[in-house]
Amino acid sequence: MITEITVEDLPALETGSQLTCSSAGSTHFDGTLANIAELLRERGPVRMVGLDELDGDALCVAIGAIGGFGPMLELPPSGDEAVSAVRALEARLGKRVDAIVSLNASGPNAFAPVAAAAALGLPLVDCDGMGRVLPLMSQTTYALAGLPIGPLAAASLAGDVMVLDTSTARSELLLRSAMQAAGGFMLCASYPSIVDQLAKCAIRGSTSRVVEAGRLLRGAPDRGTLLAGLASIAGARVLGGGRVVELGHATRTVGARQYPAVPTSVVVREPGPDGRMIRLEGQSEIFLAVADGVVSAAVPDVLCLLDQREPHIVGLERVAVGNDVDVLVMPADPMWHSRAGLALAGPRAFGFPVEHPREVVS
Amino acid sequence: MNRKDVVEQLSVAELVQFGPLGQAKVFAGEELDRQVSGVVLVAELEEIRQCEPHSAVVLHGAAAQGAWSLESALRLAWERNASCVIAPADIAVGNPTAQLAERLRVPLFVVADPARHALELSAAVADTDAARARLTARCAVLFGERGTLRDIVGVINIEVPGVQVALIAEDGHVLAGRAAADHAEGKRRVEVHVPGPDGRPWARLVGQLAAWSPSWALTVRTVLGLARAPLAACVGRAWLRPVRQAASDRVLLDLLLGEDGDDEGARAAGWSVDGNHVAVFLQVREAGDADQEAMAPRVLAAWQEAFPHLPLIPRGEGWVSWWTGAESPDAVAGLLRPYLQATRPVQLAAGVGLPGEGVAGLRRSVDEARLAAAVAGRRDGETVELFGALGPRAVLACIPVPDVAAAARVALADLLAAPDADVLLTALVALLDCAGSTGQAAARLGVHRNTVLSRIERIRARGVDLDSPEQRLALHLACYSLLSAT
Amino acid sequence: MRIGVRLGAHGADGTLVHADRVLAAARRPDGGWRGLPALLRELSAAAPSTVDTIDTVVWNIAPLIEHALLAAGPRAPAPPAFTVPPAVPVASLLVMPRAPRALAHPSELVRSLISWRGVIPGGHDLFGAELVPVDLDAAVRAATEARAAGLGTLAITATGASNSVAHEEAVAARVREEFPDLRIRLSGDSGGLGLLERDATTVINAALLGTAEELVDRCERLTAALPGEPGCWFATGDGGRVSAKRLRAVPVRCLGADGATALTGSAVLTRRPDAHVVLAARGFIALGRVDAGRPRIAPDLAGKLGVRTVSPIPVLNVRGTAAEPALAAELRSLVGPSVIAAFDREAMDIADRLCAEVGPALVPLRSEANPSAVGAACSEPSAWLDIVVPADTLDELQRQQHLAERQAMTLVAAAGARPGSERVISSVATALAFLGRDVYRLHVRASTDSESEGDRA
Repeated sequence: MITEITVEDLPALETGSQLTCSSAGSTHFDGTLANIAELLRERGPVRMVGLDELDGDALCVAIGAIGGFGPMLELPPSGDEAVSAVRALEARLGKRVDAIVSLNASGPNAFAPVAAAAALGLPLVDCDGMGRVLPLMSQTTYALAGLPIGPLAAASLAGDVMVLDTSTARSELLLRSAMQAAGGFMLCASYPSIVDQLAKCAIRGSTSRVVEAGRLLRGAPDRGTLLAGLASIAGARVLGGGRVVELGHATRTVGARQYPAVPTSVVVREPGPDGRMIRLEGQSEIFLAVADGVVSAAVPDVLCLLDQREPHIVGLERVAVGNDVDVLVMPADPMWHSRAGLALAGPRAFGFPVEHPREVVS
Repeated sequence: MNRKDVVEQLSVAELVQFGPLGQAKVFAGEELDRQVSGVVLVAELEEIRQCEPHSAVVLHGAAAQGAWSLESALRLAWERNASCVIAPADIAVGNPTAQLAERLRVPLFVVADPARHALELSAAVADTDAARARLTARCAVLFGERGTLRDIVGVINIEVPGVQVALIAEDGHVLAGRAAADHAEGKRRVEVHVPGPDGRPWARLVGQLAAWSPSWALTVRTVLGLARAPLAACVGRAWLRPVRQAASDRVLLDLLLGEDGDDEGARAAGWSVDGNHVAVFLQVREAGDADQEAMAPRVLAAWQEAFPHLPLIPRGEGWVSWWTGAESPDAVAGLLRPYLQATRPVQLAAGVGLPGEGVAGLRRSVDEARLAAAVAGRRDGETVELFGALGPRAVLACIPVPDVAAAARVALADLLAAPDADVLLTALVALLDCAGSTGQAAARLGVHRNTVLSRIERIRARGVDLDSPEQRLALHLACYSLLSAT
Repeated sequence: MRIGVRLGAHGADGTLVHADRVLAAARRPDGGWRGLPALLRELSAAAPSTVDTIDTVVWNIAPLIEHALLAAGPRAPAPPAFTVPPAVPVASLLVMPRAPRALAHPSELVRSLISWRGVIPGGHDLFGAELVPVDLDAAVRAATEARAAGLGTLAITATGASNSVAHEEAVAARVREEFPDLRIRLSGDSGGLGLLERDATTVINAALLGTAEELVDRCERLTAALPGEPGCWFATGDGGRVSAKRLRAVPVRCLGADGATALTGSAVLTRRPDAHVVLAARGFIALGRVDAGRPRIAPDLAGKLGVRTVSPIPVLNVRGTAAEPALAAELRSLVGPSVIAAFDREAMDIADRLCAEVGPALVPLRSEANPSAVGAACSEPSAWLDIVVPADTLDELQRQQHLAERQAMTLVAAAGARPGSERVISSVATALAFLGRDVYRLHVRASTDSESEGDRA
């Protein structure tokens, strides 16, 4: 169990966060991390606690950004955006926030809560609400357990702050318009809840897992050790591997436009005459793996591409025809495999009218 | 077996032939023999799991969302032993999808409107005999409306898409249609004899079926049978007339192109004398006089069929004709090429002169065409040479090729002694023709540039000096003659 | 015929190449610049009389450029065989809505090249909308400070300049009014995505202008001394080459050229245009790839200088020599041929062991000629475009892609390629995730038909 996050942990945190973020992959957020490192140097390490270590009525908010990675590259967040958002939310709630939880400890959203906790001087709870990246803020185990997303507050990179007080469904819509108008990125403080509520629905140990995976990706002496380590940390298995032979934007799914993403399709061809064709369908994230026409893995389980030459994740923003990759699949938290979980974040929720492989088996 | 006793199902191939899938783009089309028991319109992928074997699976709606759903459908169709999958054209079928269809051996058709096709397919599958009867009747009507061999055979090739048909003379020469049809073997071959105007066997009408079923073969045989009478009638009209005419035409042409330019007879015969002419000269490749006589009927008959408004007149070792009016030599050459194919197995070489005004111009154009034809005659295959494009190269036609070649065999003995002398010689000529550019020479030879480079190495090793300017002309001439003489 | 020359810390390697065949190779371990006329004379004397004259000389000066960059920093390396003027630190002005918490650039190298750094308000988002108005008075104040610090070159990088250069240009115009003699470089000119990546590119480029000027002058003079007025070109990190004029403007494109030429040259020398290429030297094994004779490249890679720029460099997976056993297993698993080029005695042992272990699928490079010099000689004029465009429909995306492709081909043609020979090597559109609107990053790589020039036998 990791009990604090220091400046030295940031590289592992960044690398590990890529594993469950197939969209960004190994995009480097050097500017953001430089800012957060500066913050941690000023304020000291962030204390990380388990949910059980806090009082049952301690108030937590989930920190996580919505929007694209591009804006973070053009205008690296300073790390203290959460301060204005959390202060605004506290003003609306009339209560002080006691601890920070992660909206989803994946991709850049794995380090946003660390920065928030540092900037606010609060402990970070080692848990999150997705265990991966999902396109909608309402696709969380928090929402699955009935926790309301709001009231919530959001801050843009240009310094705008807003508080939103409406239903979960409308929050999503309003927030997306604001995010677009703000340039494609907003840092949100949402799901204000007490520890007793979160205890039932949070995915635990998320940030620790990210750091451990990061250390492994950065330090594994060889491929075998890496894959064995990923299997033990995240239950990862290799679905198949080969060369990327096709990339496409033409396979739009019905209703795709409701998602803040661009459909992308990647075909990986296994070597040899009997090699399978693994088609990965996604909208920013990979949602479906179809091997020779068989749905082999599907959201909410995590799919990502691992470079065969170097231990790093190949993101959908960077993948190119000719890349040699392994397709990794990691099971989602069991909460996601419930009927309600699959309804909220299973393949059908993304316009793929197929059953999740687990449904087919059962 | 009496086919009335058999409840026969249409094959996938027949669905293509009878129209419903005739215009569809097909992938994995090697396996079209499967029978189709019924048609299933599928809106959800899961519905394929309930399909009967041998169904034609038509995808629409949510089942046709993109390449991934199409691949899933192919897989499910394969598991259910479906006969084919039909998908809407708005899914772009890329290489991976096509390869999957091939590996699973599930034919995949792409159509504009799958729902409409499902209806047509269901109708065809429900009433096989009616569909076949309609096809036969339609062909019969069209035969009556066509007047040439090619058009009649064309009706079958166009209207009965799964079948390739050729009309083949008793000597094996393809008179019309697709030569590939003659390669058909076994059950896939359907053949009927066609009598000539004298009632004796004259040709065979051969069809190749993409897919076979007993009743489909019978239907095709019926259609071919229906074509026999119109074919025979057509031959009678076309055959003998041109040969008789040729003898008198030869005299008229000699007068017209003679010193005095006597055009009276030519005008009376209805030839174009005034205006701008482009002359054409045809000669039989590698043939003596006797051969030319023997081949005249075929050459003339084919000409009549191709250019009924133009005379083809024997002159010297070949035949002359000319276009009058706006046609450029290039355009004329374009018109000639299909004709040269049509005279097979007689191989003709053609030359086209520059445009010329009036009788004097025609005379010059004919002379130019004859020179160009001589150059063309030294190349392989049916070739057309334009005098205008040859320029000074036309002079090559006058070179005593055998003499030069004999000298070259001595001068280039080392090169010719190489085991791959032919290859080296061809490479050398290409290189010389391309003024030393290995890139162009490679493109012309259809090989990689490195290949050309290695051949040059071997040529040099055989003592040929490529770099000496004073040797170059002689070398070029020697090579040219060697290639032309062989 | 072409000459390729690599100028490195341990001297000069030259090669005379015709139609992808090495006709001669020469080496001058010492003598510096003074030794080069003799090297070029030796190579041109080796030219057979049957072939036309030398039409192109391609210089790989990447090792010298890299030395010049490091020479400006605290850990200056030992001087190379050639005198090289060091890079000159510049002023860097960031245009963004607010000052970042960490103002210094994360790369030590870039920090060493920045003598003065400021931030003024301004910047656009990725859709091209203004985030805050640009403060031109602040820009003048900043330039005044930079000027007072004695700096002659200003690199300007604005948030969002990947698809809106308005603020960078406004700042440049205003500052030029005040300081007409200040050299100004804008990040928008290099394209690419990422403030820091563009900042690094612009700063490195600006710091190298003086160095490039002198190196290019020297190479041009040496080239001009050869008979037949051959063209003077410089190898670039994308595996291509640019003219002397272009390199004076964008010396940053040299970065990675050493790896790129080594990959190209290894492919040429082993006649394996599609291969994985292992480059081995003391304590260093790197695995790269060539497709159709061109190295696989990508932007935003850290490279051996450890700084991400938007300028593309070869994709080289670098391992320590300790990875040798794993590498053998990996090479066996690769599809297609592999080539190994060893650059010193120690590496030759590694190559021998790997070849013995992997078998005939691994081809050892054995040549007197330096692969990098050969690769330089065999490179073709090239262009790289990296832009961000919003596109709401597939048609619009295709239109934008087409425009970008035309532009890249025009760049190649403008670089002096034979008209009609320019063509697009790759054109990739990548969707930027989660923006709420469809925004794509377009990468276009253009060059010429490799067989279009120098093919006269």
